[in-house]
Amino acid sequence: MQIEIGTVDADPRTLDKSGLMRNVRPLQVQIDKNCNIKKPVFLLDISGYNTAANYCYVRGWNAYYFLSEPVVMDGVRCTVTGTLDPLTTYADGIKNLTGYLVRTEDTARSNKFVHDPHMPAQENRKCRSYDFNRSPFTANYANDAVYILTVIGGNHS
Amino acid sequence: MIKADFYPTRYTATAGKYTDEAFTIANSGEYTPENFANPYMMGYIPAGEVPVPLILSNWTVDGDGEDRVIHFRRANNENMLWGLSMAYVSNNSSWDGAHFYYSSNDATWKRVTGLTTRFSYFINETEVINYQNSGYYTISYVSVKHNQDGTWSDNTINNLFKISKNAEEIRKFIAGEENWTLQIAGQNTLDVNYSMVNDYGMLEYDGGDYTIYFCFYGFTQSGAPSSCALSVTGGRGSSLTPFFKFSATNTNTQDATICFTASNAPGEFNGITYNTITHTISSSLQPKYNGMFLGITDSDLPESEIPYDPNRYKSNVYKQFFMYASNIISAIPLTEAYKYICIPNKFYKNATSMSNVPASASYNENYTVALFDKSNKPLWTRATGSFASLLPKLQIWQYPGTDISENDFDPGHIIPPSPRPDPVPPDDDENGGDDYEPNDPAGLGVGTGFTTMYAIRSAHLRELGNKLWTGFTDINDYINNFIFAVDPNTGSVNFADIMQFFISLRAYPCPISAMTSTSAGGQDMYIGSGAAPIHLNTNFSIVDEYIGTINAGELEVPFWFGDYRDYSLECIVYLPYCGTAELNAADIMGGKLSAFYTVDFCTGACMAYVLCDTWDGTRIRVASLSGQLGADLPMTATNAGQVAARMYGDRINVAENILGGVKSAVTGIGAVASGNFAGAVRQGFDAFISPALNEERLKSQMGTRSAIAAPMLSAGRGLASFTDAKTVFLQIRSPIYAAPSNYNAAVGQPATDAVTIGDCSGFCQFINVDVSGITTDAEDQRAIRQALESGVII
Repeated sequence: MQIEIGTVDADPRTLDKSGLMRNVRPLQVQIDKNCNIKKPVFLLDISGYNTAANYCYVRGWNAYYFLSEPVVMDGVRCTVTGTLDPLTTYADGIKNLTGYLVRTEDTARSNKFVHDPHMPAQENRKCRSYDFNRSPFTANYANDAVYILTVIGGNHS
Repeated sequence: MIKADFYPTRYTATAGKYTDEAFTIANSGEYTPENFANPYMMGYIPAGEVPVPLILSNWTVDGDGEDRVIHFRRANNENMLWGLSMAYVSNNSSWDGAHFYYSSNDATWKRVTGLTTRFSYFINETEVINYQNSGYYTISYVSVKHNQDGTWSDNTINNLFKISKNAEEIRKFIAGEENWTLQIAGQNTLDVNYSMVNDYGMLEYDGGDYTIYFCFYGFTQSGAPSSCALSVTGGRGSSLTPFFKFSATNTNTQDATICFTASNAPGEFNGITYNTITHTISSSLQPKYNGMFLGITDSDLPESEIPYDPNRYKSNVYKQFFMYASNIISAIPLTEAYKYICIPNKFYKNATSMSNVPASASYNENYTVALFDKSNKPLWTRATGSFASLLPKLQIWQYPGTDISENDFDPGHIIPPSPRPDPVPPDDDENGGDDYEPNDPAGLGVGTGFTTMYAIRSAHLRELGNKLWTGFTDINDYINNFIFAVDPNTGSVNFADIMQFFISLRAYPCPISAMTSTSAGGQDMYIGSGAAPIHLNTNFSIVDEYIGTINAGELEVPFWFGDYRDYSLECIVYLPYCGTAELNAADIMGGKLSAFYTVDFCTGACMAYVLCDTWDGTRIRVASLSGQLGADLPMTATNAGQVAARMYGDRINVAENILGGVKSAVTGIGAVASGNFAGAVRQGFDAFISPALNEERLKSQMGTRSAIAAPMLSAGRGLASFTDAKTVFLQIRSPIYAAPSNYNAAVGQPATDAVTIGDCSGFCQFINVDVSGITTDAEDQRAIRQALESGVII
């Protein structure tokens, strides 16, 4: 069977990596013995294998796989294990799903007034002071009447 | 397993399933199945293999005078059988009645009953009064029965009343062919012509048995209500014959008039619309029969109307209504299924808040769910909040329940007959309590006749001292001129120490005239007896009132980060002469602070208030502290000792109160003497107690929010405080956040949005994603869901 092998440098959490494969080239492989279709072992000619390749697409299964565990068998052939990438394989269906967004890189969708428990805070503090815009406690003690003398009786008004 | 699909879902016959579909609602159109293109589907339970949804649709309909109509209908892509409509009439901004449509061929619909134009008080079916014990004469009901063989038979009970017409004529009346005059057997004919208009004829008579009743609902009375008693018995429901027994007694000396509708407007019951029936109850003490009422049984007429009033949504009337609706939803036995109806809140809330029926409802709006249990007893929900949060639960809801069970629903309860309005938040204008802005109570002056307060400048104060203490040549001169002093102006002799007339002398950090009103200067001072006071030529002003107020400025509270972090900042406000108060950042952020002082000139004590005009336009008080604005100055040895004792004693008392809690707040005269300062004074004297205790108390005050306690700044006492800061200031402390530059890409920021995954970009984390639509096995589905929950990059 033919697969398309390439290299993906993207974060494995990327939903759709199909467009991110580089150095893509077809490769003829066989399936080694019986294997789980989610974790197939590809048997291929070592001359056609690029050790930098970490990703492949199996058109017949319409599935994408991470490649790992290259094993040289006899100097001519090697096996490479594929691990199903469910995100990219089912990316079209996943994109149509609905859900509740709880964290996002997109600041246009984030809620800046919801507490973020992941935000790291240091123990040291910054401190700032802000004066109110007026102070009434500005007496001229020499000239202003700032004393109150209370007497018994007096010429109360 | 019974799976429930939910709104907004549209049943597609060809696909044979319900799919989510975004849609809009047309604002007008005749009802035809083809135009019925914008359904809101309610809940449904699959009836065997065929799901039977109840669809809520919405459009405007003219012709009947209705501005909006909302219909519930059963749609299973087969012949639609029943629908229930509610109409919103814009001219009186109310939701009017409800009536059933029915159709046998899904092409034309007939409305079973007409539309009420007014809601009348509807007798709650639980208000059944045992008329036999009421002491009133009551009537029974008169009925005629149409039998299967086409004959009519009298079904009157008790024979207290008899319709004067025969059964055929009753039929004519029902058909609108003639009017009636009712006669009370053995008594006078009622002097009111019961003129009734009905659209009962809209119902196609199917030849089955049924019993005809008239009934009324609601009544008013005028004249002498207190002595004209009306009693109503009866009710409606599947177990009760829907009729009302009515009796009245007028024991007043004047006639009373009763109207048989609450609003004196045409009312309706089960399709028979009748005008207001007014009858005068004479002033005779003898009880009188005043009416008889016939009604239509629900069991006899399955398509009977159930009035609908959004304000009475949870009343037993609605139980009745939804019991009918539940039968429409699905024909499967109740023992095998739950049924529910979900209605957008805006469709049934008090219509005064709606001027237009909304064009659509979305996931994010609020819904109320009515769930019917297996006994067909409706259970009512609270407002469910965002529909988006409900939908995932209902999508996987199974009975016996997993995510949703009966416990999620309030049991149906009886509401009082009078409509209870939905609670609404108070207007901002009604905001009271802590928005107090100190104001000087006018008239609380010094004119008590016992004391006088003089506002004095320092130079004049020295002059007074000179008058009192200098100029005496020797002790005899002092005794003669001071102890046994003769008033130079009046000639009176004082046999006492003049200093006993001086109560206090205090200095303030701002002009007295800036705090309160004072008389013009140049006043002489009179001391002692009003009949023969000691008169000193001075140059003083008289302080008019005991209380002064000071505006200490404003501050627009600045944001630091512009996000949630601002609302957990540590904020303290320093109030000169009082101390510090810790403020809640969530209360003040984005608002404007204002500081005020009120001063008690009798004691020199002050109260400082900080008000906040919050971002949403309300005014709240965020801090109030007591302090000492006036600094006591000694005048004599005794006075000096008293002043010091007050200062020192306060500290002792405060120290005790720190350990045991402040016993009382500082208020008014005597506050200084009591020494029970609250607020910052306590904090200011922290140094006088053990450091360990202080630290522990500070930590408990700060809680876990900060490992480092906010500084407690004390205000001084006495003249020493005059050297302290004289401006109110706000101190804000913030942690330093150390988010890396790629924080958003690596961790993201919190979000609160129901979305379609494909519409998002960048790093995203999702919950409540239904992956069952992904055509793969459970293992892959689980892996996908876990990946979405841990975060993916789109």
